[in-house]
Amino acid sequence: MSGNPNITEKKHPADKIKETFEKLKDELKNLGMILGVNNESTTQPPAASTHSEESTKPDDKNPYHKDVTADDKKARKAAKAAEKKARAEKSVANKAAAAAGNTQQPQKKPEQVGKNQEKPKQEPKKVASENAEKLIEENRQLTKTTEQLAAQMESLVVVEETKTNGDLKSAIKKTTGVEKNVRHVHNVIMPSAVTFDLPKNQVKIVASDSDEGVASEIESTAISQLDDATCLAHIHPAFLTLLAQSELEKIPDVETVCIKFIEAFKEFLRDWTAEREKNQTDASTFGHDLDLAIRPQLAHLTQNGHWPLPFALGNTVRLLKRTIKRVDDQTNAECGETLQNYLEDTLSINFSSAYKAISQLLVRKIRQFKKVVVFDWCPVVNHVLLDAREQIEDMQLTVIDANSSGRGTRHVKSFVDRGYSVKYVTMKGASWASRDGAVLILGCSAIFANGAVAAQKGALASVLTANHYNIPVIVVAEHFKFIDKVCLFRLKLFNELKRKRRLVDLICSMI
Amino acid sequence: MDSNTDIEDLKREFIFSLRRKFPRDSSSSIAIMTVNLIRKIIFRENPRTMADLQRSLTSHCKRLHASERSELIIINIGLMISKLARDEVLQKRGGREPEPLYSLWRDDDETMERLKNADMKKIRKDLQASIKELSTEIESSRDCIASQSTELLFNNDIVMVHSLATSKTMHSFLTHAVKSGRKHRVIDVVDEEEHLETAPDFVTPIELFEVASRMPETSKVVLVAAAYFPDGSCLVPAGGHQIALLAKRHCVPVYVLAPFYKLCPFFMTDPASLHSFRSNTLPFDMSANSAGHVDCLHPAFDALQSDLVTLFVSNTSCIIPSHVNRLKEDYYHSQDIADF
Repeated sequence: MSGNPNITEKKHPADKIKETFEKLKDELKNLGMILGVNNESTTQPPAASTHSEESTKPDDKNPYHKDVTADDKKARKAAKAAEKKARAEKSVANKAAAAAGNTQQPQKKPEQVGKNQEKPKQEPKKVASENAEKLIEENRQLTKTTEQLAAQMESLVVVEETKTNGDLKSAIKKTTGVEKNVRHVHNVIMPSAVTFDLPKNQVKIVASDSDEGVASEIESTAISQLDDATCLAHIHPAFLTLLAQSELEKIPDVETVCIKFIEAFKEFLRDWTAEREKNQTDASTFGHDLDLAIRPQLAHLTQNGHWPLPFALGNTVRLLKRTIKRVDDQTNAECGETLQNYLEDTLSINFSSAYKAISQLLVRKIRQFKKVVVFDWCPVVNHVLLDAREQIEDMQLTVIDANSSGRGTRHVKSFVDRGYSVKYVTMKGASWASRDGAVLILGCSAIFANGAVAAQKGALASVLTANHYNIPVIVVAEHFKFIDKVCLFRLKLFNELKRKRRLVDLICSMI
Repeated sequence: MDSNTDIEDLKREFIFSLRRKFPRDSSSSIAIMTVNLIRKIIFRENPRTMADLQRSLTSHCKRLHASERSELIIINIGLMISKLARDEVLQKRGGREPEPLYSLWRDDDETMERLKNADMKKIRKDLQASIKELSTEIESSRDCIASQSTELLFNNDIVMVHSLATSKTMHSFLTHAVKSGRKHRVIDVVDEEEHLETAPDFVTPIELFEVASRMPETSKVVLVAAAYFPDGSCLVPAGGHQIALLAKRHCVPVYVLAPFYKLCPFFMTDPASLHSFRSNTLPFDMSANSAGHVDCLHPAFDALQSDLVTLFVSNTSCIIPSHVNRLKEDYYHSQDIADF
C-alpha cells in the first residue's frame, strides 16, 4: 500500500530525485569511508519501494540464540545509530533538494534507498566493533545537539502541520507517521559535514507523540534490522515465545495477550538491566536506551507493522513507553526496580482489581435480570458471571458460541465445574437464546472514541438479535481498552497477534 | 374394517418412512409422498359425500401432523386436496365459485347443504385426475423456481445463501443462474467446518459467525423457507434470522424460495411448538462433567418476520409478503380453514 504513492511520486520530479540520489551516493560513500567499509556498499538506488521492507526474512532463524555478548550488543547499537544517522543525512539531502514544494516525494525514496544501502553495510558494520566505542561517544555528544534542534523542530512543527492539514490522504494512511516524522526534520538545518547525528525521525520529542501507533514509529528501524541472517538473534526469547504462541493461536483473548506481553517485557527488562549493570553504563540514559532497545523487539512482534498490535495492547505499550522515558533514578538497578514495580502495578490494576470492580458494578445492574445471555469467551465476563451467580441464586445463563466446540465452552466449563447449570447454543440458536434471555453481556477487544466496539466475530449478529427482541446489551471493558481512535469502516480489523482467522466485528454505537 | 386397518397401516408406514430417513428428505418428496398417501386413503375409504370427504381428510391429516409436528406440509396437502374436491363439485354443478368478496353472505344454508351432500361418485375420477395434477405441480415446482433465478440474480452480484447443501431447490436455483451465463459470486453459509470442504465449486463457504463481516459486500441474500404463513412471515432454517437482520441493516434484499406447498394457511404464533430441536452440540469430552447441568439447544428453525423478507419466490411467480394472504386463496378454501 505504501508502495503506490512512491511509484506515482517517482514520476513527478524525476530530475530532482536524480540529483538527490547523486548527493546521497556521495554522502554515503563518505560514511562508508569513515566506517572503514569498501565502496561496494554504495549501490544504486533501487527501482521500487516497499519490496525491500517486506522481502527478506532470513530462512535460518535462530530463535533462541542467547549468546549475545555485551560487545556485540554495543556494536549493534552503534550500527543502528549509524544507520539512523545515515538516514538523517539523506533527509538533509532531501531538504536541500525539495525545500520548496511537495514534501512527501523524496522522503520515501531516499529512505528506502538508505535502507537498501544500509543492509549491505550492516554486515561490515557489525565487524567493525572497534569503531563502536567511538560512535557511542559521538552519540552522546549529538544527543545534546539533537535536543537543541528539537526545540527548533517544535516551532517548525506548527508550520508543517498547517501545510499537511490540507492533505487528506495522509490522515488515513498508516505510513504518514513516518513521513511526518521525517518531515519535521525537513526544515532543520543540519551541519553540512558528515556528522553522525542521532536520527531525528526516531526521537519522538515532537508533539505528535501518541497517535500514530507503535507500528509507524518503528517502521524505519525495523526494516534495516530484519534483513540479516541472524536478525532474530537480538530479539529477546521472551518475545519470540510470545509471538510463537500467538501464531499457534494458543492465546484465546486480548487480556491474556496483554498479560503475557507484560510478563515477557519484565523478563526482557531484567536481562537488560543486568547487562547494563555489567557494562556499568550511566543510569541517566536508562530510559532513553531502553526505549531504543525495545523498538526492534516490538518491530519484530508487529512484523514491521504488518500486523499491528491489538488496540488494547497498543495502549499498554504506549503507557509503558511514557513511563520508561520518565524514569530518572540514580542507579541502573533502581531504574529497573521502578519499572518492574510499574509493571506489577499495571498487571494488578488492569486485570485483577479491574475485574473485581467491574463485577461489583455489574452485579448490581443485572440483579433484576434473571436470564443472562453471553457471547463467546471473555475472562472479564466470566469473572462477572461467576460472581453474579454466587450472589444471585436464580440466575440462568445461556452461552452463545461462535462455532461448535468454540471458546464459549470455557464459560460452560467454568459453570459446570462449580455445579451450576447452563444453557449452550451455537450461533444458529442465537435468535432463540435472545428471545429467551433478558440481558446480553459482551466482552470486547477495544472501545473506540465514537462509541463503537470491536468485539469477536459473530458479536454483531448476537447484538442485532438482542436488539430485535428488545433486550439490553451491556459491554464490559477494562479501562485500557478504551482507545483514542475512531474506526469508521468495518474492514479487516485483523485481530493482530491472533493472525489467522480471528477477525473482529465492529459494533457501531448506534445499537 | 379391512379398509380401516389398511389405512392405518398406510399411515403408519408413512410416518415410519419419514422418521427413518436422516437427514430429512427434501420437502418436495415428502409432499409427493403425502399426496400419494392421501390418494390411496381416499380410494380405500370411498367417501360418499363431500362432508365425509372433508371429515376424513381433516382427521387423517391431524393425526399425521400430531405424530410429526414439524411437518406442516401434511396439513397443507390435505387442505389443498379438499379444495380440489370442492372445485370439482362446483364445476360439476356448473356454478361459479362465489367471489371472495361476497362469500361471507352469499353462502346461505341451502347452498351449504347441497355442497355437503354432493355425491362423490360423480367427481371421483376428476378428483383423482386433479390430485395427479397436484403431484405433477409439486414435482415441477423446483424447476419453475429455478427458472426465476435469471430474473433475480444478475451479473456481478454477490449472493449469500444459506443451507445450500441441504436444499436441492436452492442448488438448482443457483446452478440455473450459473448455466444461463450469469457471472456472480456465491457465498454459502455452512453449518460446520466439514462442509467447508465439500462445497461445490462456484461457492465460497463461510461460517455463520462470519456473516456480519461479509454482509457489506453482499448484494443479495437467498434463503429457503421451511414454511410460510399468511402474514408474510416464514420459517427458515436456524441461523436465517441473523442473516436477515444483518441484511436489513445493510439494505440487502432477501429472497426466500418458497414453493406453493409450503404455504401454511394458519398462523404460527409459537415456533417452539414445532418441536424442532436437534442433537447435542457440545464436544464429547465435556459430556462427563456436563451431564445434567448443560442444556444444549439446537433449534431447527428460525422465524422471520414479514418485514425482513423482500420477496417470496414461488413456482408461479415472485410475490411480496403482503400478498401471501391473497395467494392462499388460490390453494385453499376458506371454509376448510375455518372448519379445521
